[in-house]
Amino acid sequence: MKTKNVNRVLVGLAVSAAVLANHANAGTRISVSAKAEELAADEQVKRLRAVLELNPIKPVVDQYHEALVGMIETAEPLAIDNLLVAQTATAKDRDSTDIGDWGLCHTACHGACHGACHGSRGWR
Amino acid sequence: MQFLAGLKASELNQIFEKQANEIKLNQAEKFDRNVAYTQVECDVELMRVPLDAASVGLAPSLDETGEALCENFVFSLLLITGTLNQCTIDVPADCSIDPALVLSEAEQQSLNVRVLMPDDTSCIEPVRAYADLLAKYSTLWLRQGSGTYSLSPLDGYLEYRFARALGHTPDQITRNSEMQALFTDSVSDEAMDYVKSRLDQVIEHELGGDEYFREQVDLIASAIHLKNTELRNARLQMLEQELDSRTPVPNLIRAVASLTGLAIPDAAGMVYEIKHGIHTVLDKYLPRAEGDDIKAPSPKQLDLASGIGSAFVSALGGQAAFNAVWGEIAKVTQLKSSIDVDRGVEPPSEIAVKAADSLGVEPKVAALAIAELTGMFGSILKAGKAIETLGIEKPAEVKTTAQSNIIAVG
Repeated sequence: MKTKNVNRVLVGLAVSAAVLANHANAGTRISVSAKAEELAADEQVKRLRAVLELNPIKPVVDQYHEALVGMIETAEPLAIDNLLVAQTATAKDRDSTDIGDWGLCHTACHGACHGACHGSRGWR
Repeated sequence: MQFLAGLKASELNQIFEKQANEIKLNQAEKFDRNVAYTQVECDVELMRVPLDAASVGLAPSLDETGEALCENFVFSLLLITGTLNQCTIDVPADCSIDPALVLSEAEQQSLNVRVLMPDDTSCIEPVRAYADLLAKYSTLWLRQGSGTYSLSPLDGYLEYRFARALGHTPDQITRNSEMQALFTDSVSDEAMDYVKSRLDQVIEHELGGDEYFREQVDLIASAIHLKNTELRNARLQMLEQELDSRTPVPNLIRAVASLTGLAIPDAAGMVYEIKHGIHTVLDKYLPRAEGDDIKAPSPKQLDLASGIGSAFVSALGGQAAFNAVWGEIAKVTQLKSSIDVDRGVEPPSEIAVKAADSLGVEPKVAALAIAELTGMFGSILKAGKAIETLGIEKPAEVKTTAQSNIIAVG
Protein backbone atom coordinates (compact mmCIF):
# COMPACT_ATOMS: atom_id res chain seq x y z
CA MET A 1 0.00 0.00 0.00
CA LYS A 2 1.32 3.41 -0.93
CA THR A 3 1.99 6.01 1.74
CA LYS A 4 -0.89 8.48 1.93
CA ASN A 5 0.71 11.34 3.81
CA VAL A 6 -1.50 14.40 4.05
CA ASN A 7 0.60 17.07 5.62
CA ARG A 8 -0.10 20.73 6.01
CA VAL A 9 2.06 21.78 3.08
CA LEU A 10 0.34 19.31 0.74
CA VAL A 11 -3.08 20.59 1.76
CA GLY A 12 -1.87 24.18 1.31
CA LEU A 13 -0.60 23.37 -2.18
CA ALA A 14 -3.92 21.78 -3.14
CA VAL A 15 -5.87 24.81 -1.87
CA SER A 16 -3.50 27.15 -3.68
CA ALA A 17 -3.92 25.13 -6.89
CA ALA A 18 -7.71 25.33 -6.54
CA VAL A 19 -7.53 29.13 -6.22
CA LEU A 20 -5.19 29.23 -9.21
CA ALA A 21 -7.56 27.10 -11.29
CA ASN A 22 -10.45 29.36 -10.31
CA HIS A 23 -8.52 32.50 -11.31
CA ALA A 24 -7.67 30.89 -14.63
CA ASN A 25 -11.41 30.30 -15.20
CA ALA A 26 -10.82 26.60 -15.59
CA GLY A 27 -14.51 26.02 -14.87
CA THR A 28 -13.66 23.19 -12.51
CA ARG A 29 -16.58 21.67 -10.64
CA ILE A 30 -16.13 19.22 -7.80
CA SER A 31 -19.17 17.21 -6.89
CA VAL A 32 -19.73 16.53 -3.19
CA SER A 33 -22.60 14.09 -2.88
CA ALA A 34 -22.22 13.20 0.82
CA LYS A 35 -24.31 15.07 3.37
CA ALA A 36 -22.67 17.27 5.97
CA GLU A 37 -23.39 14.73 8.74
CA GLU A 38 -21.70 11.99 6.73
CA LEU A 39 -18.68 14.21 6.06
CA ALA A 40 -18.45 15.11 9.75
CA ALA A 41 -18.28 11.40 10.56
CA ASP A 42 -15.53 10.71 8.00
CA GLU A 43 -12.16 10.65 9.78
CA GLN A 44 -10.16 11.72 6.72
CA VAL A 45 -12.43 14.68 5.99
CA LYS A 46 -12.44 15.64 9.68
CA ARG A 47 -8.65 15.65 9.72
CA LEU A 48 -8.49 17.79 6.58
CA ARG A 49 -11.16 20.09 7.99
CA ALA A 50 -8.91 20.68 11.01
CA VAL A 51 -5.90 21.36 8.77
CA LEU A 52 -7.90 24.09 6.98
CA GLU A 53 -7.82 26.04 10.25
CA LEU A 54 -4.02 26.03 10.42
CA ASN A 55 -1.73 28.80 9.24
CA PRO A 56 -0.89 29.62 6.51
CA ILE A 57 -3.82 27.76 4.94
CA LYS A 58 -6.63 29.41 6.91
CA PRO A 59 -6.10 32.96 5.56
CA VAL A 60 -6.12 31.64 1.98
CA VAL A 61 -9.26 29.55 2.55
CA ASP A 62 -10.99 32.51 4.22
CA GLN A 63 -9.90 35.04 1.60
CA TYR A 64 -10.98 32.86 -1.33
CA HIS A 65 -13.93 31.27 0.47
CA GLU A 66 -16.49 32.20 -2.17
CA ALA A 67 -14.31 31.05 -5.06
CA LEU A 68 -13.60 27.73 -3.38
CA VAL A 69 -17.21 27.12 -2.37
CA GLY A 70 -18.27 28.12 -5.89
CA MET A 71 -16.30 25.17 -7.28
CA ILE A 72 -18.30 22.71 -5.20
CA GLU A 73 -21.47 21.14 -6.55
CA THR A 74 -23.80 19.94 -3.83
CA ALA A 75 -27.50 19.50 -3.25
CA GLU A 76 -27.24 21.04 0.22
CA PRO A 77 -27.95 24.76 0.86
CA LEU A 78 -24.76 26.81 0.85
CA ALA A 79 -25.49 30.17 2.43
CA ILE A 80 -28.10 32.32 4.08
CA ASP A 81 -29.63 35.06 1.97
CA ASN A 82 -27.96 38.14 3.44
CA LEU A 83 -30.48 40.51 1.92
CA LEU A 84 -33.37 38.67 3.50
CA VAL A 85 -31.68 38.79 6.88
CA ALA A 86 -31.03 42.51 6.46
CA GLN A 87 -34.62 43.17 5.41
CA THR A 88 -35.89 41.19 8.36
CA ALA A 89 -33.86 43.27 10.72
CA THR A 90 -35.20 46.51 9.30
CA ALA A 91 -38.82 45.38 9.53
CA LYS A 92 -39.58 47.24 12.75
CA ASP A 93 -38.18 50.48 11.39
CA ARG A 94 -40.25 50.38 8.20
CA ASP A 95 -43.69 50.36 9.72
CA SER A 96 -45.49 53.17 7.85
CA THR A 97 -47.96 53.67 10.69
CA ASP A 98 -45.14 54.69 13.00
CA ILE A 99 -42.46 55.81 10.63
CA GLY A 100 -39.22 57.34 11.77
CA ASP A 101 -37.30 59.85 9.73
CA TRP A 102 -35.15 58.97 6.77
CA GLY A 103 -32.03 58.91 8.94
CA LEU A 104 -33.43 56.20 11.18
CA CYS A 105 -34.36 54.03 8.21
CA HIS A 106 -30.99 54.53 6.62
CA THR A 107 -29.17 53.80 9.85
CA ALA A 108 -31.26 50.69 10.40
CA CYS A 109 -30.59 49.47 6.84
CA HIS A 110 -26.88 50.08 7.19
CA GLY A 111 -26.80 48.55 10.64
CA ALA A 112 -28.66 45.48 9.46
CA CYS A 113 -26.46 44.94 6.42
CA HIS A 114 -23.37 45.52 8.51
CA GLY A 115 -24.70 43.29 11.26
CA ALA A 116 -25.54 40.54 8.78
CA CYS A 117 -21.86 40.26 7.93
CA HIS A 118 -20.24 41.20 11.23
CA GLY A 119 -21.65 39.60 14.34
CA SER A 120 -20.58 40.28 17.88
CA ARG A 121 -17.86 37.71 17.34
CA GLY A 122 -16.47 39.27 14.18
CA TRP A 123 -16.86 38.23 10.59
CA ARG A 124 -19.50 35.57 10.03
CA MET B 1 15.70 41.35 -7.75
CA GLN B 2 19.45 40.83 -7.73
CA PHE B 3 20.85 37.37 -6.99
CA LEU B 4 24.17 36.89 -5.22
CA ALA B 5 25.13 33.24 -4.95
CA GLY B 6 27.91 31.54 -3.01
CA LEU B 7 29.07 34.41 -0.80
CA LYS B 8 30.54 33.60 2.61
CA ALA B 9 29.01 34.61 5.95
CA SER B 10 32.10 36.69 6.70
CA GLU B 11 31.48 38.62 3.47
CA LEU B 12 27.86 39.27 4.45
CA ASN B 13 29.09 40.58 7.81
CA GLN B 14 31.42 42.96 5.93
CA ILE B 15 28.61 44.09 3.61
CA PHE B 16 26.51 44.99 6.65
CA GLU B 17 29.42 46.91 8.25
CA LYS B 18 29.91 48.85 5.04
CA GLN B 19 26.20 49.68 4.78
CA ALA B 20 26.11 50.71 8.46
CA ASN B 21 29.05 53.08 7.88
CA GLU B 22 27.31 54.59 4.87
CA ILE B 23 24.29 55.30 7.03
CA LYS B 24 26.48 56.88 9.71
CA LEU B 25 27.93 59.23 7.10
CA ASN B 26 24.59 59.96 5.47
CA GLN B 27 21.61 59.37 7.70
CA ALA B 28 19.22 59.85 4.78
CA GLU B 29 20.67 56.74 3.14
CA LYS B 30 18.19 53.89 2.84
CA PHE B 31 18.60 50.42 1.41
CA ASP B 32 15.86 48.66 -0.48
CA ARG B 33 15.56 44.99 0.28
CA ASN B 34 16.06 43.72 -3.24
CA VAL B 35 18.97 41.30 -3.06
CA ALA B 36 18.56 37.53 -2.72
CA TYR B 37 21.65 36.01 -1.09
CA THR B 38 21.66 32.33 -1.99
CA GLN B 39 23.90 29.42 -0.96
CA VAL B 40 25.70 31.49 1.69
CA GLU B 41 28.61 29.46 3.03
CA CYS B 42 28.96 29.72 6.82
CA ASP B 43 32.74 30.04 7.26
CA VAL B 44 31.99 32.04 10.42
CA GLU B 45 28.81 32.69 12.38
CA LEU B 46 26.58 35.11 10.47
CA MET B 47 26.35 38.04 12.87
CA ARG B 48 24.73 40.66 10.69
CA VAL B 49 22.23 40.40 7.84
CA PRO B 50 22.86 42.96 5.06
CA LEU B 51 20.32 45.77 4.99
CA ASP B 52 19.47 45.13 1.35
CA ALA B 53 18.73 41.42 1.88
CA ALA B 54 15.27 40.36 0.67
CA SER B 55 16.10 36.75 1.41
CA VAL B 56 19.03 34.70 2.65
CA GLY B 57 19.64 31.03 1.95
CA LEU B 58 22.34 29.27 3.93
CA ALA B 59 24.23 26.29 2.54
CA PRO B 60 24.57 23.44 5.06
CA SER B 61 28.02 22.30 6.14
CA LEU B 62 29.37 19.59 8.45
CA ASP B 63 31.54 19.97 11.56
CA GLU B 64 34.99 18.41 12.04
CA THR B 65 33.53 14.99 12.93
CA GLY B 66 31.67 14.91 9.62
CA GLU B 67 28.58 13.52 11.38
CA ALA B 68 26.78 16.64 12.56
CA LEU B 69 25.97 20.00 11.08
CA CYS B 70 28.51 22.73 11.68
CA GLU B 71 27.76 25.08 14.58
CA ASN B 72 28.39 28.15 12.41
CA PHE B 73 25.59 27.00 10.13
CA VAL B 74 23.14 26.16 12.94
CA PHE B 75 23.70 29.42 14.85
CA SER B 76 23.55 31.45 11.63
CA LEU B 77 20.16 29.88 10.93
CA LEU B 78 18.96 30.99 14.35
CA LEU B 79 20.03 34.56 13.63
CA ILE B 80 18.41 34.88 10.22
CA THR B 81 15.14 33.29 11.30
CA GLY B 82 14.81 36.05 13.90
CA THR B 83 15.81 38.78 11.44
CA LEU B 84 14.29 38.03 8.06
CA ASN B 85 10.97 36.59 6.98
CA GLN B 86 12.44 34.88 3.97
CA CYS B 87 15.23 32.55 4.93
CA THR B 88 15.92 29.06 3.66
CA ILE B 89 18.36 26.21 3.74
CA ASP B 90 19.94 26.11 0.28
CA VAL B 91 21.28 22.71 -0.67
CA PRO B 92 23.81 23.02 -3.51
CA ALA B 93 23.55 20.49 -6.34
CA ASP B 94 26.88 18.91 -5.35
CA CYS B 95 26.05 18.66 -1.62
CA SER B 96 27.10 15.33 -0.12
CA ILE B 97 25.61 15.80 3.36
CA ASP B 98 23.07 13.20 4.46
CA PRO B 99 19.66 14.60 3.40
CA ALA B 100 18.09 13.25 6.64
CA LEU B 101 20.42 15.49 8.66
CA VAL B 102 19.50 18.59 6.67
CA LEU B 103 15.75 17.89 6.72
CA SER B 104 15.84 17.18 10.44
CA GLU B 105 17.36 20.64 11.05
CA ALA B 106 14.78 22.20 8.70
CA GLU B 107 11.96 20.55 10.62
CA GLN B 108 13.31 21.69 13.98
CA GLN B 109 13.61 25.30 12.83
CA SER B 110 10.58 25.23 10.49
CA LEU B 111 12.72 26.46 7.60
CA ASN B 112 12.03 25.74 3.97
CA VAL B 113 14.63 23.80 2.00
CA ARG B 114 15.66 24.52 -1.57
CA VAL B 115 17.64 21.94 -3.53
CA LEU B 116 19.34 24.20 -6.04
CA MET B 117 20.04 23.43 -9.68
CA PRO B 118 23.63 22.92 -10.86
CA ASP B 119 25.24 25.88 -12.61
CA ASP B 120 25.62 23.94 -15.83
CA THR B 121 22.52 22.12 -17.06
CA SER B 122 23.71 21.69 -20.63
CA CYS B 123 25.34 18.31 -19.89
CA ILE B 124 23.40 15.25 -18.80
CA GLU B 125 25.70 14.20 -15.94
CA PRO B 126 25.21 17.13 -13.56
CA VAL B 127 21.45 17.09 -14.31
CA ARG B 128 21.24 13.36 -13.59
CA ALA B 129 23.19 13.77 -10.34
CA TYR B 130 20.93 16.67 -9.38
CA ALA B 131 17.78 14.67 -10.15
CA ASP B 132 19.05 11.82 -7.96
CA LEU B 133 19.81 14.21 -5.09
CA LEU B 134 16.39 15.87 -5.43
CA ALA B 135 14.75 12.41 -5.51
CA LYS B 136 16.40 11.52 -2.17
CA TYR B 137 15.24 14.73 -0.54
CA SER B 138 11.76 14.40 -2.07
CA THR B 139 11.33 10.82 -0.85
CA LEU B 140 12.25 11.78 2.70
CA TRP B 141 10.05 14.88 2.61
CA LEU B 142 7.02 12.98 1.30
CA ARG B 143 7.44 10.35 4.03
CA GLN B 144 7.44 12.86 6.90
CA GLY B 145 4.02 13.79 8.20
CA SER B 146 4.47 17.04 10.09
CA GLY B 147 4.42 19.47 7.17
CA THR B 148 6.13 22.29 9.03
CA TYR B 149 8.37 23.18 6.11
CA SER B 150 8.40 22.86 2.34
CA LEU B 151 10.89 21.51 -0.15
CA SER B 152 11.56 23.34 -3.41
CA PRO B 153 11.23 22.67 -6.31
CA LEU B 154 9.08 19.68 -5.28
CA ASP B 155 6.39 21.96 -3.76
CA GLY B 156 5.98 23.94 -6.97
CA TYR B 157 5.69 20.75 -8.99
CA LEU B 158 3.13 19.26 -6.58
CA GLU B 159 1.03 22.43 -6.87
CA TYR B 160 1.27 22.08 -10.65
CA ARG B 161 0.04 18.46 -10.41
CA PHE B 162 -2.85 19.50 -8.15
CA ALA B 163 -3.82 22.23 -10.64
CA ARG B 164 -3.77 19.66 -13.45
CA ALA B 165 -6.03 17.39 -11.40
CA LEU B 166 -8.41 20.37 -11.18
CA GLY B 167 -8.52 20.66 -14.97
CA HIS B 168 -6.09 23.57 -15.25
CA THR B 169 -2.59 23.26 -16.73
CA PRO B 170 -0.57 26.35 -15.73
CA ASP B 171 1.73 27.72 -18.41
CA GLN B 172 4.47 28.07 -15.78
CA ILE B 173 5.30 25.81 -12.85
CA THR B 174 5.84 28.83 -10.60
CA ARG B 175 4.99 32.54 -10.79
CA ASN B 176 7.40 33.48 -8.02
CA SER B 177 10.23 35.50 -9.60
CA GLU B 178 12.85 34.16 -7.17
CA MET B 179 11.83 30.56 -7.83
CA GLN B 180 11.77 31.20 -11.56
CA ALA B 181 15.31 32.60 -11.43
CA LEU B 182 16.58 29.68 -9.37
CA PHE B 183 14.75 26.75 -10.93
CA THR B 184 13.30 27.43 -14.34
CA ASP B 185 14.75 30.44 -16.22
CA SER B 186 18.26 29.14 -16.82
CA VAL B 187 17.34 25.49 -17.31
CA SER B 188 16.93 23.87 -20.72
CA ASP B 189 13.62 22.15 -21.55
CA GLU B 190 15.35 18.77 -21.80
CA ALA B 191 16.90 19.11 -18.33
CA MET B 192 13.57 20.30 -16.91
CA ASP B 193 11.70 17.36 -18.45
CA TYR B 194 14.26 14.95 -17.03
CA VAL B 195 13.94 16.38 -13.51
CA LYS B 196 10.13 16.36 -13.77
CA SER B 197 10.05 12.74 -14.90
CA ARG B 198 12.31 11.80 -11.96
CA LEU B 199 9.99 13.66 -9.59
CA ASP B 200 7.01 11.89 -11.17
CA GLN B 201 8.64 8.54 -10.34
CA VAL B 202 9.12 9.54 -6.70
CA ILE B 203 5.59 10.94 -6.40
CA GLU B 204 4.12 7.84 -8.05
CA HIS B 205 6.01 5.63 -5.59
CA GLU B 206 5.27 7.63 -2.45
CA LEU B 207 1.79 9.03 -3.13
CA GLY B 208 0.36 7.64 -6.33
CA GLY B 209 -0.47 8.85 -9.82
CA ASP B 210 -3.08 11.29 -11.08
CA GLU B 211 -5.78 9.46 -9.13
CA TYR B 212 -4.05 10.45 -5.86
CA PHE B 213 -4.26 14.16 -6.72
CA ARG B 214 -7.89 13.89 -7.82
CA GLU B 215 -8.74 11.98 -4.65
CA GLN B 216 -7.05 14.62 -2.48
CA VAL B 217 -8.83 17.44 -4.31
CA ASP B 218 -12.17 15.69 -3.71
CA LEU B 219 -11.36 15.23 -0.02
CA ILE B 220 -10.33 18.86 0.39
CA ALA B 221 -13.51 19.99 -1.39
CA SER B 222 -15.45 17.84 1.09
CA ALA B 223 -13.57 19.48 3.98
CA ILE B 224 -14.31 22.97 2.59
CA HIS B 225 -17.97 22.04 2.18
CA LEU B 226 -18.03 20.76 5.77
CA LYS B 227 -16.49 24.01 6.99
CA ASN B 228 -19.05 26.00 5.00
CA THR B 229 -21.90 23.97 6.47
CA GLU B 230 -20.54 24.50 9.99
CA LEU B 231 -20.31 28.25 9.38
CA ARG B 232 -23.88 28.29 8.04
CA ASN B 233 -25.19 26.37 11.03
CA ALA B 234 -23.30 28.62 13.45
CA ARG B 235 -24.79 31.65 11.74
CA LEU B 236 -28.28 30.21 11.88
CA GLN B 237 -27.76 29.62 15.59
CA MET B 238 -26.55 33.20 16.08
CA LEU B 239 -29.57 34.54 14.20
CA GLU B 240 -31.82 32.43 16.38
CA GLN B 241 -30.11 33.81 19.48
CA GLU B 242 -30.36 37.38 18.20
CA LEU B 243 -33.94 37.01 16.96
CA ASP B 244 -35.43 38.72 20.02
CA SER B 245 -33.24 41.80 19.62
CA ARG B 246 -33.46 41.91 15.84
CA THR B 247 -37.21 41.66 15.21
CA PRO B 248 -40.38 42.97 16.85
CA VAL B 249 -42.24 39.67 16.51
CA PRO B 250 -39.69 36.92 17.32
CA ASN B 251 -42.20 34.41 18.65
CA LEU B 252 -44.56 34.85 15.72
CA ILE B 253 -41.55 34.04 13.52
CA ARG B 254 -40.76 30.94 15.63
CA ALA B 255 -44.37 29.81 15.28
CA VAL B 256 -44.27 30.37 11.49
CA ALA B 257 -40.98 28.45 11.27
CA SER B 258 -42.54 25.55 13.17
CA LEU B 259 -45.71 25.62 11.04
CA THR B 260 -43.93 25.79 7.69
CA GLY B 261 -40.70 23.91 8.36
CA LEU B 262 -38.72 26.97 7.20
CA ALA B 263 -35.43 27.97 8.83
CA ILE B 264 -35.71 30.90 11.24
CA PRO B 265 -34.20 33.51 8.85
CA ASP B 266 -36.52 32.36 6.05
CA ALA B 267 -39.57 32.44 8.34
CA ALA B 268 -38.52 35.93 9.47
CA GLY B 269 -38.24 36.93 5.83
CA MET B 270 -41.69 35.54 5.08
CA VAL B 271 -43.35 37.43 7.95
CA TYR B 272 -41.48 40.58 7.02
CA GLU B 273 -42.40 40.35 3.35
CA ILE B 274 -46.11 39.88 4.16
CA LYS B 275 -46.01 42.94 6.42
CA HIS B 276 -43.95 44.93 3.93
CA GLY B 277 -46.33 43.93 1.14
CA ILE B 278 -49.30 45.39 3.06
CA HIS B 279 -47.43 48.65 3.66
CA THR B 280 -46.38 48.85 0.01
CA VAL B 281 -49.98 48.49 -1.14
CA LEU B 282 -51.15 51.09 1.40
CA ASP B 283 -48.41 53.51 0.34
CA LYS B 284 -49.34 52.99 -3.31
CA TYR B 285 -53.07 53.65 -2.96
CA LEU B 286 -53.08 55.95 0.08
CA PRO B 287 -49.89 57.99 -0.33
CA ARG B 288 -49.00 61.20 1.41
CA ALA B 289 -50.12 64.36 -0.33
CA GLU B 290 -47.67 66.99 -1.50
CA GLY B 291 -46.42 68.89 1.53
CA ASP B 292 -47.36 66.23 4.09
CA ASP B 293 -44.84 65.67 6.85
CA ILE B 294 -42.73 62.68 5.76
CA LYS B 295 -41.86 61.96 9.38
CA ALA B 296 -45.53 61.50 10.31
CA PRO B 297 -47.75 58.61 9.17
CA SER B 298 -49.72 59.19 5.97
CA PRO B 299 -52.95 61.08 6.88
CA LYS B 300 -54.97 58.96 4.41
CA GLN B 301 -53.78 55.77 6.05
CA LEU B 302 -54.58 57.23 9.47
CA ASP B 303 -58.08 58.03 8.19
CA LEU B 304 -58.45 54.40 7.10
CA ALA B 305 -57.31 53.18 10.53
CA SER B 306 -59.71 55.63 12.16
CA GLY B 307 -62.56 54.33 9.96
CA ILE B 308 -61.81 50.72 10.90
CA GLY B 309 -61.68 51.66 14.59
CA SER B 310 -64.99 53.59 14.36
CA ALA B 311 -66.65 50.64 12.65
CA PHE B 312 -65.66 48.31 15.50
CA VAL B 313 -66.73 50.86 18.13
CA SER B 314 -70.13 51.31 16.44
CA ALA B 315 -70.60 47.59 15.92
CA LEU B 316 -70.07 46.92 19.62
CA GLY B 317 -72.43 49.68 20.72
CA GLY B 318 -70.14 52.49 21.77
CA GLN B 319 -66.67 53.26 23.09
CA ALA B 320 -67.28 51.83 26.58
CA ALA B 321 -68.44 48.49 25.19
CA PHE B 322 -65.57 48.42 22.74
CA ASN B 323 -63.06 49.13 25.52
CA ALA B 324 -64.51 46.26 27.53
CA VAL B 325 -64.22 43.85 24.59
CA TRP B 326 -60.68 44.98 23.77
CA GLY B 327 -59.72 44.70 27.43
CA GLU B 328 -61.01 41.12 27.42
CA ILE B 329 -59.08 40.32 24.21
CA ALA B 330 -55.91 41.81 25.68
CA LYS B 331 -56.41 39.75 28.82
CA VAL B 332 -57.14 36.46 27.05
CA THR B 333 -54.24 36.88 24.65
CA GLN B 334 -51.96 38.05 27.49
CA LEU B 335 -51.02 41.10 25.44
CA LYS B 336 -50.51 43.41 28.39
CA SER B 337 -48.74 40.80 30.48
CA SER B 338 -46.47 39.54 27.70
CA ILE B 339 -43.37 40.82 29.48
CA ASP B 340 -44.29 38.77 32.56
CA VAL B 341 -44.95 35.72 30.37
CA ASP B 342 -41.59 36.22 28.69
CA ARG B 343 -39.83 36.40 32.06
CA GLY B 344 -41.67 33.35 33.36
CA VAL B 345 -43.45 35.30 36.08
CA GLU B 346 -46.86 34.51 34.58
CA PRO B 347 -47.59 31.08 33.04
CA PRO B 348 -48.93 30.82 29.47
CA SER B 349 -52.72 30.92 29.26
CA GLU B 350 -54.87 27.86 28.61
CA ILE B 351 -55.50 28.86 24.98
CA ALA B 352 -51.76 29.29 24.48
CA VAL B 353 -51.08 25.78 25.82
CA LYS B 354 -53.66 24.33 23.43
CA ALA B 355 -52.30 26.38 20.51
CA ALA B 356 -48.77 25.26 21.37
CA ASP B 357 -49.74 21.63 20.82
CA SER B 358 -51.10 22.42 17.40
CA LEU B 359 -48.22 24.71 16.40
CA GLY B 360 -45.53 22.38 17.72
CA VAL B 361 -43.82 25.05 19.83
CA GLU B 362 -43.32 25.71 23.56
CA PRO B 363 -46.44 27.10 25.33
CA LYS B 364 -44.51 30.25 26.16
CA VAL B 365 -43.65 30.82 22.49
CA ALA B 366 -47.28 30.24 21.52
CA ALA B 367 -48.49 32.70 24.21
CA LEU B 368 -46.06 35.39 23.09
CA ALA B 369 -46.81 34.75 19.39
CA ILE B 370 -50.53 35.25 20.05
CA ALA B 371 -49.75 38.42 21.99
CA GLU B 372 -47.54 39.69 19.16
CA LEU B 373 -50.25 39.01 16.57
CA THR B 374 -52.83 40.79 18.75
CA GLY B 375 -50.38 43.66 19.19
CA MET B 376 -50.10 44.04 15.40
CA PHE B 377 -53.88 44.32 15.13
CA GLY B 378 -53.98 46.60 18.17
CA SER B 379 -51.48 48.99 16.56
CA ILE B 380 -54.03 49.62 13.76
CA LEU B 381 -56.72 50.39 16.36
CA LYS B 382 -54.30 52.63 18.19
CA ALA B 383 -53.38 54.49 14.98
CA GLY B 384 -57.13 54.97 14.38
CA LYS B 385 -57.51 56.25 17.99
CA ALA B 386 -60.04 53.51 18.87
CA ILE B 387 -57.79 52.66 21.82
CA GLU B 388 -55.35 54.91 23.63
CA THR B 389 -52.56 52.47 24.35
CA LEU B 390 -51.66 48.86 23.71
CA GLY B 391 -50.32 48.54 27.19
CA ILE B 392 -46.89 47.35 26.08
CA GLU B 393 -45.39 50.70 25.10
CA LYS B 394 -42.02 51.66 26.42
CA PRO B 395 -42.36 53.61 29.68
CA ALA B 396 -41.68 57.34 29.44
CA GLU B 397 -38.12 58.32 30.13
CA VAL B 398 -37.39 59.19 33.74
CA LYS B 399 -36.37 62.83 33.92
CA THR B 400 -32.97 63.26 35.47
CA THR B 401 -32.42 66.18 37.78
CA ALA B 402 -29.20 68.16 37.75
CA GLN B 403 -26.68 66.91 40.24
CA SER B 404 -26.14 69.05 43.29
CA ASN B 405 -22.65 70.28 43.94
CA ILE B 406 -23.22 70.25 47.68
CA ILE B 407 -21.40 67.41 49.37
CA ALA B 408 -23.23 66.04 52.35
CA VAL B 409 -20.90 65.64 55.28
CA GLY B 410 -21.69 63.97 58.61
